[in-house]
Amino acid sequence: MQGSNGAVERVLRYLEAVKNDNPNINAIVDIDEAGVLDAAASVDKQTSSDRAGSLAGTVFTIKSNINVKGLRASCASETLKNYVAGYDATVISRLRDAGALIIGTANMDEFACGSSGETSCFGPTKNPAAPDRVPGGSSSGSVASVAAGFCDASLGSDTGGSIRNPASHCGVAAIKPTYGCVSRYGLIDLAMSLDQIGPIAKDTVTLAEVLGVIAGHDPRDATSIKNGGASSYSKNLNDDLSGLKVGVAQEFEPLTDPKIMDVINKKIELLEELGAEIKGVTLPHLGNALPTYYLTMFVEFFSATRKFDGRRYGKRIEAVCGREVLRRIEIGRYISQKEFSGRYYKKALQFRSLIKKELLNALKDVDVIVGPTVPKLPHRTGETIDDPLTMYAYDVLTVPANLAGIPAGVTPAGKVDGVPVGLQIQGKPLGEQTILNAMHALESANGGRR
Amino acid sequence: MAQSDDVKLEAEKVLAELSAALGEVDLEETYYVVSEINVTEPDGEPRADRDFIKTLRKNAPHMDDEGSFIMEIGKWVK
Repeated sequence: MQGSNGAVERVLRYLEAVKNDNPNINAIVDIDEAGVLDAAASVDKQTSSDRAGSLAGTVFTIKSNINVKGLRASCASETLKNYVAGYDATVISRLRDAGALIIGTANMDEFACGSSGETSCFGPTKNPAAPDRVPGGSSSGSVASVAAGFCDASLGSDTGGSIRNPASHCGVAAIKPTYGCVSRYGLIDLAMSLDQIGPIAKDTVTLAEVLGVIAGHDPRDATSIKNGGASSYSKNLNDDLSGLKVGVAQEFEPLTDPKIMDVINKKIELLEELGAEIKGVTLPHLGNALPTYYLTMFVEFFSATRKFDGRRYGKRIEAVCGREVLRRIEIGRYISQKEFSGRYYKKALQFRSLIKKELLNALKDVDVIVGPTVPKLPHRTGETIDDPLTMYAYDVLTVPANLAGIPAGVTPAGKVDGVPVGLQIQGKPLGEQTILNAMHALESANGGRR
Repeated sequence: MAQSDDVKLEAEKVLAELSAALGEVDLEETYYVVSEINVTEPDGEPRADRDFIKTLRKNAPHMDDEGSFIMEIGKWVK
């Protein structure tokens, strides 16, 4: 419960932290000091009259590809560097209605094309939990702002792991919801069949509270699920894991750094100690997920970028974008021209069917599948990775959830060489509550420590 | 601006490697469209958001004094 000036005082503390440390971390690109203080004063008035929402006084940053009225929605690109959002995305309207306070917009990989947080036109974001390593991406600023203590929570977008990858590298909690559970209205898309907005927070209770607010049907998003998404995730959090069937796929281990696998295996043992039943599952086509994802994403991204022609707003994307964005556009263009033969996109869609079927079949026998989030540690700041395929390999364990549309959460599991490592928990479609329960149980077993 | 010739070469290499890695399969295709897709969104009440119009004009690269957009004619138009 806030005091009479609780929200304003809270915001002032966060603003102080941002002013002191953001110039180094580079997590926030636009700070809305006047707007957030006005909103905090309104929340304090509502609190004193008992009309406060469930997120009253909770301070957020928002990834720069989600429209927040009056703030830049730049996608961290020269293309949209001066583009100001004319409306609120549905998730933003819902946050505001619940009393949330938006302190600013977060840095990201340009147009969400990256897994390292290094491709922004505003410069790279630093990893607050491991300063000599990249924070991961593409929701680099969202995650880093939570990890650095600039806010209570953040919204990011996850197309192939863009929330989960940096959450793992920076040691915070995050969840990518089921496709269609959270409205995408107002999200500037990377690949519309894979994108999903999700929350990032320091702990599972906040994560569940935020998800409860932003989830739910939205008639303005044609892919929004009716009756999908509950508002009561936080109230229903339950640490009792007895009887929970936890799947572990044998295919994870050969793909993953052994040191990371050791940390993950300890968490799996802890789940067993907490009453869960561990079962082996098999995902024979896991290795095909990465090319399937990228071939699908290239085509959808090419299509999504055709509106950035520099006529109604912004600059023509090909004229000003960075190398990774241009590479993806070129591949998407090539595939679209050649697609009459069905060599790439149609084949990727077929593999997508196979991978989805395998994951859903595996989830018939278990409640969740657990494993590592990222198979290797983030590379060191300033280290150049010339081969794009090496960079893409960060995503091999996160893309299957996007291809299948299932939810997946990440909770801190431990550290390797001082770098945080996250446990990924994938669940059945609309199985967010089960994932959050497992995350909360692990957090509680660790004495609430991250 | 990125060096587009280099990038095109890289793009071809990436596409070739990813495509080769995929191999062959003969299955139905999954599209993102869900079965209950809402293609006939109900009409809402019309409303004028003056802020939106102001922002839209500010975002426009080129406007004339009367508030009309000035757009480059496509290079393919003679």
